Amino acid sequence: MKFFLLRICIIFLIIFFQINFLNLIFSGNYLINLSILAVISWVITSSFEKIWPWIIALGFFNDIFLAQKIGSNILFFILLAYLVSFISKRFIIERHFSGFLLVIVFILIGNFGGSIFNFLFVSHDILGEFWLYLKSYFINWESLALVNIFSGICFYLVYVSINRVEKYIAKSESRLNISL
Amino acid sequence: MPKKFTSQKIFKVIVICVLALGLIMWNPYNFSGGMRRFFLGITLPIQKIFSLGADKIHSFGEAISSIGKIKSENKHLFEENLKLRAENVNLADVMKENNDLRSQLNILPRDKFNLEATHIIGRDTYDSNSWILIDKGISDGVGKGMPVIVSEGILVGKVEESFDSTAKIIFITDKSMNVNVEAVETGAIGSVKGNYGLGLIMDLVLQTDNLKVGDKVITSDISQNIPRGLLVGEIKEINSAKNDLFQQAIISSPVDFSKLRFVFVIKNSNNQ
Repeated sequence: MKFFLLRICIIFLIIFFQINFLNLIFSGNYLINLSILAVISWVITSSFEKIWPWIIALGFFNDIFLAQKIGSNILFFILLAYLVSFISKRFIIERHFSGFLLVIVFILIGNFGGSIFNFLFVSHDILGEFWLYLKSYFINWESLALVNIFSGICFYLVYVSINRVEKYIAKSESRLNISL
Repeated sequence: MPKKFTSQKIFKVIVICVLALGLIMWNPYNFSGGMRRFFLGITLPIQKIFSLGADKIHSFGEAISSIGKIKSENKHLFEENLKLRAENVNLADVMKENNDLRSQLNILPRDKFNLEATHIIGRDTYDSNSWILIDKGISDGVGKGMPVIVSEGILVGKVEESFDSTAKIIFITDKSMNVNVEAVETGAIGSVKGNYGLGLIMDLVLQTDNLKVGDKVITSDISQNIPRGLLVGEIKEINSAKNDLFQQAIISSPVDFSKLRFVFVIKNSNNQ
């Protein structure tokens, strides 16, 4: 129960910090998606099998607070988590340089994929407007680059925090198992 | 021994995706609305704390960055003050004329709008020009469809969804918005919609109508719930080809949507 509440708190903290804090400070074209960074961090620190229910919860509460169709963020986050897990298993993420490159790739894929998914669920004319949307996404390439750089910096903080919490939970659970 | 397909990771992913797609398609009436109302209601104080913190940091940052500018700005303001004093005398006369015209056209005077001042507490993650969350809702008389303005009647959006103490405002720059407008000088009528962060487009303007660069664009009285005469922007560029059925114009709004902190909801927009 304690760990359940701890993870729920993390989810709420990520969402509020993103919608009510970061989005107000980094308004304009520099919006950072902490939830995407959290999904990547969670899959890297714990395994997909262990963490998938929490990714569903993160997606669900994102849909609630971002006022989107319930299910759209669940769908995107679970696909992203699977992709991260699939790729990171095949490349050794612990190696510093390849790990660093992989994380950058994950952030780029996550940010681009999130925007595309958002477009798919918001647009009324997907085929007619897709090229216009892609143009508008890439036209401001300086801000796009800045978003990904800021995301990289934020990723480090999110990763360190989630890693600590997950290690604490794993330690406490193993202690509990021994005492039982 | 190979794993059973049902215990494999890909199987879980497929099942979750099918369930999520089912939820998106099915989305039973009031299911998401009820949940949203509940969670937004109980978490509003926390959201307000976060947005207050963001505001403090934002204004502190602005104050720091503006220290160097203050001296030159002071000189500029002094000159502008003298100029404005002279203009003020002329404006008193224009105001009288404007009030007469407004009463002749049956438009509600701007100072008669029943405005609800609201504070922005949240913003969309994917596009800051799409929607915002404000700290007033049904309990403050904020309802669905009400127009939202900033200083002296510049239209920024309308209420998309209203909850007990919060409301979601959709900006006119969002692709899903459509506002009927009219050019002030030429009287050309059209419809303004967002263009995925690439500005505002005035569309559906008849080829027989005239468009002029620099002309102001205001809301027309055809728009449901939106009073006539709210400023939308200024015509920046005209796209017109003889073979096209309609003309298009790019509109530039005087508002920087991503920097808004407060907005006003017009509660009596129906009684024009």
